Amino acid sequence: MASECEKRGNAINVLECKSVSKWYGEAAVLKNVNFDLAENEIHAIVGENGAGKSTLVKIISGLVPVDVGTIKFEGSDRTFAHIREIQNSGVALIHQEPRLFPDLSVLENVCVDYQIRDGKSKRFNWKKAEEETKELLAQLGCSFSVHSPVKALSVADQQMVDMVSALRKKLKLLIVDEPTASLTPSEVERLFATIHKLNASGVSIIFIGHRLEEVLAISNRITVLKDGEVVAVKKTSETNEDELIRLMVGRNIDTSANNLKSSSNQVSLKVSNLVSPGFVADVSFEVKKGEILGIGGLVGAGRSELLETIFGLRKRTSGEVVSPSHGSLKTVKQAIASRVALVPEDRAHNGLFLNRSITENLVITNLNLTSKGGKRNFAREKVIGQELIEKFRVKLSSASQLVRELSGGNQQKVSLAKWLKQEVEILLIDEPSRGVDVGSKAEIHQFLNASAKDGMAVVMVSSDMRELIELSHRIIVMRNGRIAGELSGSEISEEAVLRLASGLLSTGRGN
Amino acid sequence: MAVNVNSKVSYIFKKREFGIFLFILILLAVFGAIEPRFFRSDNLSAILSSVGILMVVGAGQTLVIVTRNIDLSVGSTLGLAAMVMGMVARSKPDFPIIGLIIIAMVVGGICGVLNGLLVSYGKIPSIIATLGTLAIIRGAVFVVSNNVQIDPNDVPKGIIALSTTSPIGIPWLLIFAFLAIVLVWYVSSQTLLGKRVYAVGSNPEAAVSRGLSFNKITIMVFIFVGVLAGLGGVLYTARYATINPADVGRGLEFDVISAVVIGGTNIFGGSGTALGTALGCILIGILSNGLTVVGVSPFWKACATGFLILAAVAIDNLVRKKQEENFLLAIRNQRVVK
Repeated sequence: MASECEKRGNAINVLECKSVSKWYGEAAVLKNVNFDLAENEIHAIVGENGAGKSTLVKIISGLVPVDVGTIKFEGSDRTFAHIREIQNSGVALIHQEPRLFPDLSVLENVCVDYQIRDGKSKRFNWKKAEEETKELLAQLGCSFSVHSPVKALSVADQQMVDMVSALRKKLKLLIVDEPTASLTPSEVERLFATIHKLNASGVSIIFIGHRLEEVLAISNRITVLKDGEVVAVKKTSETNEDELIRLMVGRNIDTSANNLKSSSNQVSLKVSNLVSPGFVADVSFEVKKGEILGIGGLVGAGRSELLETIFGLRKRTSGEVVSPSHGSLKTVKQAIASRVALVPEDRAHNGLFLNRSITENLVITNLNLTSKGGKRNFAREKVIGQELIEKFRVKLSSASQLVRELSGGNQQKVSLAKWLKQEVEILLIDEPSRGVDVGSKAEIHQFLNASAKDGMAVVMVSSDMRELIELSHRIIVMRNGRIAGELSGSEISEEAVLRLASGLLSTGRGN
Repeated sequence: MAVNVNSKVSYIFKKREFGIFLFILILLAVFGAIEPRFFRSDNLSAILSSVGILMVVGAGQTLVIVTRNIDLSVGSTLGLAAMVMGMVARSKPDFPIIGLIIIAMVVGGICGVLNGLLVSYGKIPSIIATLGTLAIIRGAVFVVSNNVQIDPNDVPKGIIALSTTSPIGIPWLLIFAFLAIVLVWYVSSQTLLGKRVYAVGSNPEAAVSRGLSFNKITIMVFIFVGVLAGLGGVLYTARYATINPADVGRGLEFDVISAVVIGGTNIFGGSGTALGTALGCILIGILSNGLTVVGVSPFWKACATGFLILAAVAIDNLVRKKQEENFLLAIRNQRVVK
């Protein structure tokens, strides 16, 4: 990688963004941003949620028009180019959640925007396209069929489909926006290998990431954004995680939440022989008061489904969930009445009402406090909303702002905060920091630790290995719907979790 | 392993269409058992004619629904196309038949452009936009005709002949229906354009970010259904020989949309097949004819039709949910094995 850095010294810039600014309404999202990308460079952009990273790459890829500033791609002005023109010139954007067509097959997804018809035949040559797609998939180490519908693939495989769609055209600039958020370590490895391979073949890359160790491992240069402004551009070899965090947050934060690892012996929730066909097979465990129980495992191991089954969202065919103080829990209503709360992984769909205000989202679980005889008390709603907003330090322009307009980290805070006006005894939380910036992540971690200390039982599903290991007092690892093993105290290590999760000694799936 | 998954997918689809087919057989058996005259050749050809008209319009509606839209104005469009064509034929009795057909299709296409523009650039949800045009176009039928109907002796013989003859023995009406279904099958399964139509319905946001022209595709499918509704107007005239401004095409949208949905097109967009729609049209045609022939009172017929539609869709949903669960399970197990 050192030689690549040197090579860059006299390289030309593939992309130059000069004084780019963008407003959404009255809020400036990007202020006077200068950003350049050298040929064959991997340039990372880091920053807290809401710092403007995604907006910047959306502007570069033509999804969002720029308000002020110029963008040059390969020397020619592309400031107001149409998205199709930009894509045809070799720019591709890959999102955290793949932008695919679930009903279409892999092959159809790859070919759907293909512009040039092969040869003289007027008919699109599906055979040739199929061969090319198969070849590209094989190069990326993917083994799924080109005919399987995309909705049947895992998120990681879907990203690979997205990648192959980009590769079908002549690619010059690949932008990846938080690609690793929901991937398992071996899938991340496969993705990085792909990025390196592309880079070696002459593709320049912009990489947006929340996991700084990944950013440091993959990039040549790092641009730090904060509140829509560039605060630093660093060579990767000349910086470190602590410095980046300081630059991003503008203050020192303690990334490793102090882990007290203490819990009482009083059982808060007892799950026995729970079965939800196809997802959860014969799962039993207990959570004690004041304990953070981590649930590890690969994506698709049934972890989210387990939480949903406990909460009563998913049909169970046998088994029991018992809270010693409230008895057996079967329905969502009973769960909530027994002071169980669920913060789901997909907050946009399952955790929030995106088109309602922040206040309304916060009081929806507290209507018993804010309404009388079925009539809402708006003044009371405001008070409770404000209280929670302050407690969780939600960044907003007004409490009546739509939740849709908040950044990922702040949405997560709202999704969590809505439960916590009233006492919660058992918190089920699924991927607490997915798509959440470093600052909010630390705050959420601190909150979880503090709540556990106050006696809340927390069941946390996480794919973020560091989060899982640092936060959990005890870890249950799931595989294929079953509990593969339990780790506590000194047994807890990244390797041990991975071993149980994969059921093998080796963790490689892409190989 | 991969091949296995793939064959399973097509298995599900085949099974779904097979289910509709079975239901059709059951209906035939029940109606035939209650009233043997159901199978008389004049009754069967009456069923085929109405099924043909449904199929022509349903073929277009399928693609509209695949894009997450709906066209409620197909009945009115069919009416306006038939009326304009009929008036031209009345004032110029020597006008060539092919010219009349083109006129009807152009009128339908213009209605389609209107719907397409309202939905795409106008950003009006299609259910509202086409509810409006349903009334507007029906009004236009009255205005252009001055509420005077086209009588059978003003309809050219050549048009009427479309419902009875053709060079190859099968009436033109059925040939058109067949061609419309084949066209939709071809476009949706063999062309990139077709895949784009499905892509837009499957995930509109992704379609935009992949550079697909959302508005263009939306307008295109509305024009397509409009043109086919225009052709439907010709076939309607061929079959009934009378064009009454109040009756022509009235309520057709109900039958067409029912047929498409029963045929398995997802009302939330992204999936649906021409074959499914064809079977759905046959089912609706048999149902509506059969209920009359076995002597269900017209008052009860509407209830019975609605009830059967809901039952068919409900049963299908249950079966499909189960199959999808099993399918996902199979995929998960494979992943573990891998």
